[in-house]
Amino acid sequence: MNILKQAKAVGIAATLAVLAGCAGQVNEQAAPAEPTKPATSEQKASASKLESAADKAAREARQAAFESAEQLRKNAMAADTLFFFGFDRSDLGQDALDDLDAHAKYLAANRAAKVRLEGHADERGTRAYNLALGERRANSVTRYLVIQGVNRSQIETVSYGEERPLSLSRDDNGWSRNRRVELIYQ
Amino acid sequence: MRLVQTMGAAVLMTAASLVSYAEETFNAESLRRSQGELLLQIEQLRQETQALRGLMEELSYQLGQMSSDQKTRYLDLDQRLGELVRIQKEAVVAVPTQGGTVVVLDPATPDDTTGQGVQVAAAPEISDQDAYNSAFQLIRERQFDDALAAMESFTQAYPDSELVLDARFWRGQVFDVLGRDQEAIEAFKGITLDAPDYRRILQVKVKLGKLLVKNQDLMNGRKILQEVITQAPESVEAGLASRELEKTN
Amino acid sequence: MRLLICLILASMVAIPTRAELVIEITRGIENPIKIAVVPFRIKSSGAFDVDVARLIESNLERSGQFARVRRDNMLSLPGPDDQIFYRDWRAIDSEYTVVGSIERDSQGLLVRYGLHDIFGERVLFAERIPGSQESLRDIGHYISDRIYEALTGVKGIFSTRLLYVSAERRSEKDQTFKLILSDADGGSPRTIFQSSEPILSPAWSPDGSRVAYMSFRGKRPGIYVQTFASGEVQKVSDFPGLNSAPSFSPDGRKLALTLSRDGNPEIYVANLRTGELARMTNHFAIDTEASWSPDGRSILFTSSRGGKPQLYLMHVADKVVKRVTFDGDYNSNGTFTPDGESIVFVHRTNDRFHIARMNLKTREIRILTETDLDESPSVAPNGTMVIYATSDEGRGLLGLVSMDGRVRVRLPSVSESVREPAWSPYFN
Repeated sequence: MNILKQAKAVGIAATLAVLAGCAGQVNEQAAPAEPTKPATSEQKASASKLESAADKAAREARQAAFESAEQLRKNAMAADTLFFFGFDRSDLGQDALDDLDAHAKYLAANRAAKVRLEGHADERGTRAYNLALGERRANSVTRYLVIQGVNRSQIETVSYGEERPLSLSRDDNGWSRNRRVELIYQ
Repeated sequence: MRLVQTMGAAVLMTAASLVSYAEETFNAESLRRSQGELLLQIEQLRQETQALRGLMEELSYQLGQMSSDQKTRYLDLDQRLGELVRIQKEAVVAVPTQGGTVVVLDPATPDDTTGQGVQVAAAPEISDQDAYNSAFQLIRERQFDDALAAMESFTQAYPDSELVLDARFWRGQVFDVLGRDQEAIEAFKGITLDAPDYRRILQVKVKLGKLLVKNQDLMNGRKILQEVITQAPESVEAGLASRELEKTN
Repeated sequence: MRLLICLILASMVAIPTRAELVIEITRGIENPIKIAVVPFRIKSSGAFDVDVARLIESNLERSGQFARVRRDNMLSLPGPDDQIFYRDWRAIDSEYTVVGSIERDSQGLLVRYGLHDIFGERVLFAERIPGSQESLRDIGHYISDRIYEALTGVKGIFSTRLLYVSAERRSEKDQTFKLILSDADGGSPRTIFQSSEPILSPAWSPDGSRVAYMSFRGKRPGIYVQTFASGEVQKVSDFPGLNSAPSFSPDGRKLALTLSRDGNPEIYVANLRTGELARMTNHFAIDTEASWSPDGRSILFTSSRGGKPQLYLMHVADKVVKRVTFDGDYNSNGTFTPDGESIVFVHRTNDRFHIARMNLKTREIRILTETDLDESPSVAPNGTMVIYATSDEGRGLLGLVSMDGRVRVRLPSVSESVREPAWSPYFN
């Protein structure tokens, strides 16, 4: 009897430990860029230490709030507005994310700002299909921006398919420049 | 014991607050970041699903192709085998193998100790089916006189064979082809008398009726054709018989 | 061996509008029917701006099934009332000879012509066609149709029309697009819609009275249906996102199209009378380029649901979808042949895009073209030829190819880059 109860308690404790561990892991995975995250061991430790982490988060939030709108705007304007894709692909590359984040922060902070995303394709393949492909590319960017806090109504998408190539050279180089989404502030 | 339970509850509460605490430490920034990552992952998964779907479509198409090919091949094989069996059943007589000769064609040398003519009948290695087949082959090759002889010798060599009636049937047909109407009539009449249940009896009767009519025995001819119609009104032969009957009117 | 006949025909005599097409035959069949079309005798004063005989011989030659007898080889130039010396025509290898005349009368014009069978030494038929100066080209096309049908047994397509898009590019964002309606030989081109934004996917209504196309009004694309006679334009859709690839149902009452209003390119069917919209596909991949089967029961479309663009066939009643193409990693923009037995589509092999035809029963694929970046196939209403878009050094041009791939004709535009051809149905 006694043993059974004890086992139960141990079981509960173990489950909780796993849960706590999970929370820590999610946290870590979610923000790999930020170095000072509470580790699993810290969570097992005293509450006071955790409180200091909370203070830190609050401080960061305040800092973010203090970041001037002007700085956000500057970052956004400095960021790339052309995003390129593979043949018949509409998935964003990792290298596009930093630039998109800059745009997203600015747009999220300025609800009045509006942006137009123009999707394009290279000339290979059929025109109507390429129109759909350009649309999907623009939608890929839209989804990312929305998740970063931009309001859907701030974004307008349009696809030009293969009708407006940037480059007229008919080789891999030219084609890769034409498979793009152009981000244009309105 | 109660103490343990209370402790358990306490641990639970502490842990719960720990978890909620951990949640609070998520700042909006990292949440977005992780959603972004998730988005990319979903996109990757979608592409992988699509690729897999494409592969599955192609494989199931190929499988469908293969099994239909297989079926076609089987049907073809089955048909060929069936044909082979049918030919064997319809064939006849005589001869083949180690320099054997058709008895009738070589009736001489009965005293010869190695008399091949006799041997045909006795030779256990030549089945009635083989003998019938080779006789039937003569018909197919349109060597009608040899075929007649072969069929005749077959009926003598294998009197108990199930193929004897077939041999007699083909003799009648060959007589007919050769224009030897009386002999054909005799052959067919013999079958109708000896084997009224023969599987080709309707064909025999139609042929016999036709021949009788042709040879001015209108009464018997019409009678036997009428029999075919009464016996099996739905058969192809009944159709043939009624057409023949119409001609006699 | 008459393969690779390379003839550059003189441009049609009609008004040399800028986007007019000029025809070059790049490849014909081995034993074309030899036909002599004698210049039509003008029986009244004043010349006409259409050389009807030239028009007829060019039409017939473009089908790939005829070869003209050169005018300077003709020993005489008889009119419809003159005696035909069959031996003279046999001497210059003519199998058939057409003679005709044009005269002015009180109503306008009277065109008379006759078709002679040189070896049979007889008149196959003769006709009198009243008309006007403006209808002279139409009459020439009509006579071509009559001759073609009499000698091949197949209904002619010379009186049908083409729609295509021309584009003039000055820079990436400064372009002029025109939707052009012309005769089947590229003659009499007229611009029916013009825009600085792209025009795509013109599609004929089954009765030939209307065209559906994608164009931008403002900065937003939409699907519009324009009636030729009145010029009236009906908006079918301009939802946020994609509005593209319209295709009329065979009864002309519905329009299949691609919309992304629910977040992703999907096929919808719009009822043109009620405006009611039915969603036909539901997949996170691209679904587009719908095209109805001649019986109206199925819709052929392009989908990337299997990772690569392939053609799928949807049974309209229950929306059950079956994949149709399995060869190659890019098959798109499919369209049915008029008999519904085959489909014609864009097929990629060895990294080049060609027009291909597949018999739906035997699944046999035949590649019809050998240029690169061939697209937008559209089948002639008699099912003998396909018109398609291709490009040469970056300039868009149109090509014709026979259903067996043996006859190829290039129709380069005189000036602008042209694309997106659509062959009309019969008008009679």
